[in-house]
Amino acid sequence: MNVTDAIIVITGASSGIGRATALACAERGGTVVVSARRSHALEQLAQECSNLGGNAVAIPADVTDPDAMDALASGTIEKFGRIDVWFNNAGVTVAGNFDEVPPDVYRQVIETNLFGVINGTRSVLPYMREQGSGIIINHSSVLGKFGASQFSAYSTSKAAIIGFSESLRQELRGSGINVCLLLPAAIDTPIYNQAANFSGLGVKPVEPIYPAELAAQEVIGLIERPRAEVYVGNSGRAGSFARKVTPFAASDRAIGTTWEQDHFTPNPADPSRGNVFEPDSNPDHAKTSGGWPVSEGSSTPYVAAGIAAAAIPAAYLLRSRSKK
Amino acid sequence: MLKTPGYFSMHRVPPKFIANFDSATAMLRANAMYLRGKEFSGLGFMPRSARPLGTVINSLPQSVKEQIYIWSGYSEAIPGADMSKVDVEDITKWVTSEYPEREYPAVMIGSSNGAGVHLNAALGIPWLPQTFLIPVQQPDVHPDETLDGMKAGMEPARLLLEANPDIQLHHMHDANQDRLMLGKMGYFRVKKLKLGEQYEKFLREHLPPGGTIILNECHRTWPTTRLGERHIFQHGALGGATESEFHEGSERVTKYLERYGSHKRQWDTPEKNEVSPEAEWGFEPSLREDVERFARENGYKVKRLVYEEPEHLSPLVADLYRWWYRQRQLRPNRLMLESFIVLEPYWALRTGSVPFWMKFNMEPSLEWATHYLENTEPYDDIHLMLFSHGVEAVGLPSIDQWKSVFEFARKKGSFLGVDEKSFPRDFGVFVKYQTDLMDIPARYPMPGMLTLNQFERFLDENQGRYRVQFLDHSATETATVAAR
Repeated sequence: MNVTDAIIVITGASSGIGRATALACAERGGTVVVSARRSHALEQLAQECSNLGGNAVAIPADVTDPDAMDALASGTIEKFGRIDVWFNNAGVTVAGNFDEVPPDVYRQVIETNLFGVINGTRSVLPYMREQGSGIIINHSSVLGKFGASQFSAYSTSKAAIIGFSESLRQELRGSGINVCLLLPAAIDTPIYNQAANFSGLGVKPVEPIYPAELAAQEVIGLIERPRAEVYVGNSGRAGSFARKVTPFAASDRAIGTTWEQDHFTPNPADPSRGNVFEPDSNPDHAKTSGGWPVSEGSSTPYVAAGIAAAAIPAAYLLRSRSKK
Repeated sequence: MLKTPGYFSMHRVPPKFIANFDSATAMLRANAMYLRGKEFSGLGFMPRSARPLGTVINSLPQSVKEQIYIWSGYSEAIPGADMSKVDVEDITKWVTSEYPEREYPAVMIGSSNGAGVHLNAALGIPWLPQTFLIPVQQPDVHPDETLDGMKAGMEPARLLLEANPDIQLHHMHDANQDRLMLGKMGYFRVKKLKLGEQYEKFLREHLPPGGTIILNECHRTWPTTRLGERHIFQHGALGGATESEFHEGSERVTKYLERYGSHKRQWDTPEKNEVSPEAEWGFEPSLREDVERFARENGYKVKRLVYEEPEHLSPLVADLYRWWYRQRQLRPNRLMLESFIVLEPYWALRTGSVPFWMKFNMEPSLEWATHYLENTEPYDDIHLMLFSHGVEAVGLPSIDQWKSVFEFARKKGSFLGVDEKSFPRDFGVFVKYQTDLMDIPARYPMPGMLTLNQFERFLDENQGRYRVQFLDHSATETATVAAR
C-alpha cells in the first residue's frame, strides 16, 4: 500500500517512534490520525504533520481504556471512512528487580503495552473485517524475543505481543488483514527518560542506540510491503539469533550482564512511577528523541559484538564445566 | 439401466433420474457442501470458473436463452416408460453420501427449505430431504392443458409407484412458473412415507444414541385431486398466482395467457377431492410416524420444527444469525436476500451476512421480505440474489419493484450476480451470484457450531415473535412452547 493513499492511525504518537512515524508518513503525503494521552503534544504534532504536507488529525486516547480505543477507531471512520493501517505503538517501561517493582506499576506496564495492543486491535478489527483489508502493526521489541534482567514487566508484555500477533495472524489468514510485528532494539526515544524506576540507578538505553527515524522507516516499509516481523537495528536481530543458537545458561549470562551493566547510569535515582499512570508533563519528553547518543556508522561491528556477547560466555561456560 | 452403481454414490454423483435444478437437490448440496467446509458455487454443480458462461448466455437473444433453459431441464428428464427402473433408495444412498463421515449432534429430516439450510449450517447438522423431483419426459403436452398433463403422467406414475411402495407421488403442474419446462417434462415430486434403509443406516452410523432427530415440517397444503392410493395431482403451486387463480382464473391469468399467445384464457382444472401437503415444500406426516418408531427403537429424541408457509422460517433464521453474530462479539450488519436455490451458506458466514431466504422471485416473497425489513432493526447493507426462471408469470414483480428492498439499507443496497436487464431471463445469475458474493470485501471467521441448547435459548428469548413452533415429539401444537 502506498503511504500517500493510506489512512494511518498511530497510538502513543506524542513522542518517540510513534511521533517519528507520524512525521515520516506526513512527509510522504499520508493521512495520519495521531493518538496519545497528551492532547497538547498531539495538537502540536498534527500541526507539524500538516506543515510537512500531510493530513493529520489528533484524537487523544489512553490505550488502556477500551472505550477510548473504540472512539479512536469510530472517530477515524467518521472522518475518513476507512482505516488502512493501525499502529499499536504506545508503550511504557519500568526498571528494577521483579520483587522490587510495586505490583500496581508492574501490572500497569503490561496493561499499557499488551492490553493497549489488544484494545486497539479489538477496536479496529470490525472495520478492517468489513473492509476486507488492513494492516495492523504491533510494536513489540527484541525484548519480546528474549528476556532482560531488570526489565521483566516490559519483556513479558513484549513477548506476549508476539504470541498475540502470531495467533491473530493465523486467525486472519484469508481475511485480507495483515498483522505485522515491529521489533526495535534500543532506540533513542524519551521512553527511558519517562520510565518508572525502582532500580536505584538512572536508566539509559543499551548501546548501540538507533534513531527513531529508522523505526519509522521500517514502519513505512511494513505499510508498503507487510511482513510478519521486522527488526529495527541489526543488534536486535543479532541478539535474537545468538539467543537461539547458544545454550540458555550462556545467553542468560551474556544478556543479563549486558543489561545490568549497560542499561543504567552510575548515578543514583529516586524511586519513580514515571509516566506509567500519568503522562509526563515535561515538554522535552514530548519529542522524537530522548537525547541519547545515537551510534554512528555501520552497525556491523555491533552485530558481531552481539553474537560474540552470547558466544564468548558460552565458550567460557563450557570451559568452566570441563575444568570441574 | 437407471440403477446407480455404488461407485457413483461413493463419489457423490446423483442418480440420473433426479433433477439437479431443483430445490431439494440444490439445498441438499448447499447443506452438505457447507458441512464439508466448501462453498456452494454454481448451484452446486457448476464451477466458479463457469462465470464467463453466464455473461455469454445473458447476451444471447431471448428465444435462444429460453431454449437453453428448456433443453437443460429436459436433458435431465427420463422417459415415462423407465419409471419402473427408478429406485428411490438410490436417491437416498446418494443423499447420505453427500455428508462427511462423522457423528452429528442432531439430524434434520423433512421439508426442503432454504432458511432450513442456514439453520442446519449453524447447527452443523445434515438434512435428509423427504421430497425429491423426478422429471419425466412429456413432449406432447401443452403447458396450459392441465388435464392433458395429468393424463400423460398416469402410466409413468403407475410404474413408479409400483416399483416404490414407500413413496407418495405429487404430480405437480404449474403453467405459471414452470411454463418453459412443462412443454417438455412433467414434475413428479415424490415424498418418502418411511425412512427407508439408507436413511436408517445413516442415522445409526452418524447419530449417537441420545441424539436428536429434528423433523422439518412445513404444513403448507394445496387443494388436490387424488388419483390413486399414493398418487396425487396438484394443479398450480406456491408462487405468484393464488390457488383460486389456478382453479378459477382471473384477469391476471387471462392477460398472462394472452401474453404468451396461448389458446386458453383460463386453465382447465381437475375436480379437487382433498387437501394435501404442498408438492414441493409441504411435509407428508406419514414420515413422522416412522421416524418416531425408529427413534423409540434406537434411543433418539425427536423434535419438530413446525410452520405453515415455507418462508415463515426465514425471519427466525435471519434473526438467529444476527443473534449469533452478536453472541460471537462480531458486528457485521449485512442482509443477504436469497431466492429459491440461489443461496450460499458458506459465504453468508464468511462475509458476515445475515441470510433471509425467499422461496421464489414472486410478489408474496417480495411482500414477506418487505414485511421483515419494516419490522426489524435496520441493516447497513442489503444484497439481493434474485432467481430467474424465464417466465413473465402472474405475480412477478418488476426489477424496479425488487429494488425497493434496497431502500431499507442504511448504507447501500445492491444485487449480487443479477443482470437487471435480463430479469426474469437472467440465467447468468446461476453462476454469478456466488462470485459476486465473494466480491464483498468483508471477511469473518468461520464459526464453530451453534448448539441445540443455544438455539433453544434463542427461541426462549424470542417467544411469540415467529410463526414457528419447536416441539417435543410428544407435545401437541398447543403446548407451552407453541407461542414461538
